[in-house]
Amino acid sequence: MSRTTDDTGQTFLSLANRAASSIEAAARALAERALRRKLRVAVTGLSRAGKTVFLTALLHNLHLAARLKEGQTGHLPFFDPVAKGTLEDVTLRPLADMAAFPFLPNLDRLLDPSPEFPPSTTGLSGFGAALRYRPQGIIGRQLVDTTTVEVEIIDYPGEWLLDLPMLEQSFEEWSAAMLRLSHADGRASIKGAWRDITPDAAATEEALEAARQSYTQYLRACREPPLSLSFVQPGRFLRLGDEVDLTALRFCPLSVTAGAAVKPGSIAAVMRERFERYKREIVRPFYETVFSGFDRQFVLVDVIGALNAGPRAFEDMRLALNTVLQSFRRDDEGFLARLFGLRMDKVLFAATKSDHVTANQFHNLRLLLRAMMTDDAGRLPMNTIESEFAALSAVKCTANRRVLYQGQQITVLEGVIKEHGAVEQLFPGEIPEHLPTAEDWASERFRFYDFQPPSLERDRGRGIPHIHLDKALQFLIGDLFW
Amino acid sequence: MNDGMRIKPGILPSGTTTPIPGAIVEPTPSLPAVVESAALATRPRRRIRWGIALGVSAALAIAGAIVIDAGLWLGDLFERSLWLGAAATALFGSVLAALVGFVGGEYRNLLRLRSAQTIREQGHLLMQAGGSFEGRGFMNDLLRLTSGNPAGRALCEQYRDALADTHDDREAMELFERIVLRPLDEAAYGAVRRAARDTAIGASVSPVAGIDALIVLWRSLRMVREVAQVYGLRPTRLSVLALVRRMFVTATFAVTADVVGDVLGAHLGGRVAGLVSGKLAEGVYAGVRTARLGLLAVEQCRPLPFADDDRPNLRQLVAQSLGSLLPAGERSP
Repeated sequence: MSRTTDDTGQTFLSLANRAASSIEAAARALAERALRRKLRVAVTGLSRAGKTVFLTALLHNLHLAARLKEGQTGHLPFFDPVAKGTLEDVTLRPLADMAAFPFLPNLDRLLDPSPEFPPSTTGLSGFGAALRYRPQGIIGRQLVDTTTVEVEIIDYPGEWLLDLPMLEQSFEEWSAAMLRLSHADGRASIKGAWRDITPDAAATEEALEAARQSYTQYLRACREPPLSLSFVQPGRFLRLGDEVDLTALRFCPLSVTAGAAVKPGSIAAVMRERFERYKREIVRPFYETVFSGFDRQFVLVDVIGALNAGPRAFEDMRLALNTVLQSFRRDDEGFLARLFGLRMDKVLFAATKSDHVTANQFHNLRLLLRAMMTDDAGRLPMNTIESEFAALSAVKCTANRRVLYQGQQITVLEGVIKEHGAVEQLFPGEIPEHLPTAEDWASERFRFYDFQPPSLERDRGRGIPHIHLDKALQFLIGDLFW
Repeated sequence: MNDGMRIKPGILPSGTTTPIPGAIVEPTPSLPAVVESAALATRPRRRIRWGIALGVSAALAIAGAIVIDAGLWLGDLFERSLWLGAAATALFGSVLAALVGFVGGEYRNLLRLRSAQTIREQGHLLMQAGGSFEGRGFMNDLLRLTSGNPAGRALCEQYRDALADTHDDREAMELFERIVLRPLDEAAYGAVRRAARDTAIGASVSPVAGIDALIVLWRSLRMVREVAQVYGLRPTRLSVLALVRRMFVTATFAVTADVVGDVLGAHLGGRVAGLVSGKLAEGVYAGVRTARLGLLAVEQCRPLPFADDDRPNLRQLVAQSLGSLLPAGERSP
């Protein structure tokens, strides 16, 4: 009798134990799920700012950081989860609702024995990185062994970004702005049939298509050297992307006055309708996909390229960036905030390709970037909670060397200049710490060259050498790893 | 950047530049194990100190007397027998050689300690210097000092690997903190915790009052040695004494508010312990004192000063090392 009670008691106890342990497991799983965080990071930048290379290097270095052997530091020592050794695992995967960012093909190009930079982006794509780590905070440590931060990063052609301000403009306003710009120094020299269109003429699809092509040619001429301008609207004309309905793109700036009556069926009337359709069917959906639901952003700026291209291109890039970034304001002035409920916490403005200058110029590069991004009153185009300026290079192509040259001690860059094929030393000059003055432009203070990416065969397992990528990462997402 | 003629930006024809060695850290295959401490120590000119002069002259007088006496004694022996004289000379000579070796070793270690001090002062300046690239020579000194023990040397290798030519001085220092000093700090705290626990146990179980004082003294000195070793100093008796002296000087001059707060907190912890048992409380006090001494040793031996938010916390250290001694539920926070 007593034995049976004992048995029952035992069974009871073991049942209770089992229940307790399964409850504990469930609680842990629940905590793990509750602590899992997901965030979308936008990488914003005009074309040629280096978004694709940046993303490739970032993903690759992150991926390898969790696979370092004991005693290896890797290339992200300033990213806390890597430095503290708490990063357990990083998995990369494409996003569910978007084309996959061509990470592996891009990486293969960089890791090739004769490496090349990946080609520029032609369409919208994204990639996710799930970073599993051991929490170090007092609370997190008690609740779970490991938890995950999922970072989704989106890449898109920089040209598309330029269309953002158009959402707020009417056809007449936009036309007036574009025509004013097209008469400015430099652009005025580009001829094109679109300049001679009569708004009142009857519209045919052929005429509209001819106008689109002629305007696209004009935009292309603006962007290519020798002009190398950035503010080319609509940017989509230069980078169509897949499955775009060309009929929506059949418009160009016309000299029409706002409020004036237009003849139905005339070119002006049809183009206005196409303009609205373009905004509605192409620009808006793009922004809804890309810029909804993210709260952190890298803004990449090719300051070096702009300096190299001369004063006109420099000012034009500044205009383009400021116009675009105005839309990201958090208050009601920023229409993305109004339209899509967009709120941004943290923005990192980064001058890319900073391996084109010597390391002692990084400070000036940051100051110059700051000067480029602020308006005359010293305001940033987007007032976020936290913002920071950085000199960045996703792939470090050069080495700094201190040498004696013509009796002076200077720091020079050593690397393989594109199309030269051999290691050379270069003195790139000085970056002005303020917006360059006319004298700065005239007096040849700087000269930058594009470099060949370095051969990475030697440290394949360690990742891609870079400049300040880890600090950028730490600033933007480091606070999530508690 | 340059005071002279401005150099025109562009490609420099090959062969027109001369590299300046050592300006930027170049990875070397392995670090030199031996440090030329004398090269590191830069000694300022000082006035004559009469106390030292007195000590030195007295020591010289005594040494002279001993040498003369020994000479006479040896001469005496030689007169008696050649063999006896030769054996005595050999004995005396070996004593002399050992003495010279001993003093030399102690002196070298003292110099090393002093150079560590110089390095720390320089390091403090460099930690403020963003955007400059002047500190690479200093970094080499720092690395040489820290690779004094195998663990430190491995970490330094890792550091050299992670440091890029694009990191400015402040970043280089920050990286050094992250990669090299954090693990070393942990090891040093471990030594302090062990010592605190040992002295606490020793003091609480010792039957006679005098013995616990001896235990504390012996264990504390051993702890200081261990801490110094962690940071690559090679402590011998004399340099440990110098270190302890400096620790006490610092302790008297720099009883900062947070130390007071820490000690207060530790006392509160002690009061809780006091409720448990008088003897145990004594032990805990001894442990707290040792831990505090340990932290002073860490601050003296660490090649870079602590960043403000990284400063070690006495209370936490005490809780970690002595917590297990107290009955559950009555541990100090």
